[in-house]
Amino acid sequence: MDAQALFREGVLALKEARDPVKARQLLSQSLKLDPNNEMAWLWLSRTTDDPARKMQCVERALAINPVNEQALALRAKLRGALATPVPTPPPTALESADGTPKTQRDALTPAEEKQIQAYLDAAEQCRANEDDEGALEQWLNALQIQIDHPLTLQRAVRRLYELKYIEDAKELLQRAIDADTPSLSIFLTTIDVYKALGDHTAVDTLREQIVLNPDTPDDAIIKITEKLLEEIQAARAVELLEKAIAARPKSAALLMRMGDMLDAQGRKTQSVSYYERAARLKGGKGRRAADSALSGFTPVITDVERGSIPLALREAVGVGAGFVLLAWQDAGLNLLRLSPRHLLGIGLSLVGGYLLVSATSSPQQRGVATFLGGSVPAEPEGKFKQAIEIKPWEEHVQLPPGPLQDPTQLPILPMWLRTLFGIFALVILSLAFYLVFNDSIKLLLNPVFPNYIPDIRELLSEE
Amino acid sequence: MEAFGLLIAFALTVVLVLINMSFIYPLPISDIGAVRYRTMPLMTYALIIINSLVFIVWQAPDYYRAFDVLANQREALTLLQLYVDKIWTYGYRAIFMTEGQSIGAFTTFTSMFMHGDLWHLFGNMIFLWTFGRRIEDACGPWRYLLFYLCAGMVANIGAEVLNPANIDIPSVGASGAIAGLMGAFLVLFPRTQIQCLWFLGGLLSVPVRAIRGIEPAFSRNVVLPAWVLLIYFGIRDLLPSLQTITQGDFDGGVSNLAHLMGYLAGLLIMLFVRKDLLMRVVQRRTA
Repeated sequence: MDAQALFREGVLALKEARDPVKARQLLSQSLKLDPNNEMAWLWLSRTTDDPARKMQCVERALAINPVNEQALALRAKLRGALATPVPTPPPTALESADGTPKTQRDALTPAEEKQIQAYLDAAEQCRANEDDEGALEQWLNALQIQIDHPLTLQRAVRRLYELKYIEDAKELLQRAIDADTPSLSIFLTTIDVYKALGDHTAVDTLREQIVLNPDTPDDAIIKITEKLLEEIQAARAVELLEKAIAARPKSAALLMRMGDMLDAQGRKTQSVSYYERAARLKGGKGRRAADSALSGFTPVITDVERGSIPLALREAVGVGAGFVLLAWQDAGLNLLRLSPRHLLGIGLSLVGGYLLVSATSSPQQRGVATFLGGSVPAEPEGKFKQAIEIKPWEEHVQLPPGPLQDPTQLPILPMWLRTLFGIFALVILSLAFYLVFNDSIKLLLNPVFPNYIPDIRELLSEE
Repeated sequence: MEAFGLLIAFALTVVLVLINMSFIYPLPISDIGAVRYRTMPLMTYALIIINSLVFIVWQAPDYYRAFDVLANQREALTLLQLYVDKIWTYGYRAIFMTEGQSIGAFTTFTSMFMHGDLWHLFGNMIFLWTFGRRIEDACGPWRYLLFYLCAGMVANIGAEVLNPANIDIPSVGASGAIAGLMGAFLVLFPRTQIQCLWFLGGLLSVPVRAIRGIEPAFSRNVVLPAWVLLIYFGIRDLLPSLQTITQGDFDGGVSNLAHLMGYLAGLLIMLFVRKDLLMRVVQRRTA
């Protein structure tokens, strides 16, 4: 149906069927399609008994057409009614000192609680009689005492939503938010209502309000970011979380969440900085989780590196280089004086070095390990396996034991052979050390007193 | 009571030395970054204990007892001579290798564990504590020990071979080996944050914070990225080292050339100690 058809149906529902609820529903739908229908606003004013709400409708009609006589007359009449004290709403004694309703931040007096309960009971009675208008009146009365009373607001909004009075539900919720309600659930419900209305700007504004609210628990902020990620708004999620972290820099949960999000987006360096901040916080689970997350950034030796024979040889050359240094010194710091004994020692150190690295750090060289009877080790279980499967969105697990213990698919030399290699390596390296350091070993066994040592007495007498 | 007084005096001296060491230049005291330690750095602890014991048990008694008996000049001089004898016998002197004296090239190891005085030891151990633990954690204790000794050897050899002055002054101290650790740290953990004591830096940070819109507050604790700090230390040793290489160092004192050699050795040796190193740098897997 178009706006005009809805308008006509709404008028008929009120005039002929005398069904204000249905009329209200139809007129609201009509106004959503055509908000500039001044007559629809005036008819809508007739669907409620609340003078304040009537006045709102009239004002909207006059905003469209300021010379609408019907509207002007109705406004004059309503002004009189609004000036007259209404007997049914809460007694004056129950109102707050400045006349504005309380919020959940303010404690209710027993009398106020009793009055709200009375309104709620009356509303339930109306609902039982299928008198939605009456129930709404009672709920509104209760909200006059506490604008964000959770049970009242929940029932009123739910009913309005069921009746498709989404605008009205939104208005009730927005009033609570404007009154600075601390209730997170009201914010979240309002977000849902705005979403239903398709007002994404308001949804975003509300989310930011929630994030910046110091009363909002970390979990709620994290849920909001998750929602944003579901809506494929990762950049906005990061932006909001940054604001939240700026407001509470010591929240380990938020820092961790930010680290996870950035990590998932491939922004590793930035994610590490957030994990680090969480890790530096004193105490709590956050630090442990941060440690765990950071461990995901520790170096991992891959099978390419493990299985590389050139890398093993490079390590052996490193050992040999150490022996060259020893030989150089033994030869009087003169490389030209290196004797065949020194050179033999250096050569042996390369062999011993290769055996040593094969026994310890490189027992998985491709080809060599298989040729010498190696086999692929069994898959690590439990923590080891879990540890390398850390995913950003999953709960973090224990720290992995270290890069050398990471799982592998390469065959590894049998332990007996590694032990044998290790023993041979130690024997060969000891022999190499003896050869390259022979002169120094002789001096160690039979030290020669230095030719010159300054005499303190002489030095002092010179001075 | 006397012991208590000595303890108080020692503590006060430590504080004064710390202030002195960290007034103009940053004194790194701990890394506060990235990845938590996986292992207890036992080898670093062992090295600190051995260095300290060598000085406190073997070297220092002669040195400090000499001051106790100053009234008896003869005894004081005898004690001081003992102290000097040890340094000139077990410190690193090229002549021991060229002419086969003392214990020959073994002094390359003994000199690494000896120190000139308590503050020499103290300063070196702070640096060893700051940079050593992380390297040990990354390499394992035995590779770390070999790395440490090799860096110390290169520092000793380099300071002798590259100094054209050819002076016969013993060099002692762990600083060459520790400079190697710093070089390795630069390669392995360049982005780690290092906490430093730095009075001047604290002062400078006040206007910087004000400009950046942060509430200005003075603090001696300054956090610097490892790469900034370590490149600074490298450059600080580079200039006097170049002077030594070109003109010779005839006076002894702090051997910047040994520091630089150890530092460069650390950079190079690390390529052999860690097989995954190049891969992780290339793949930006560093933390």
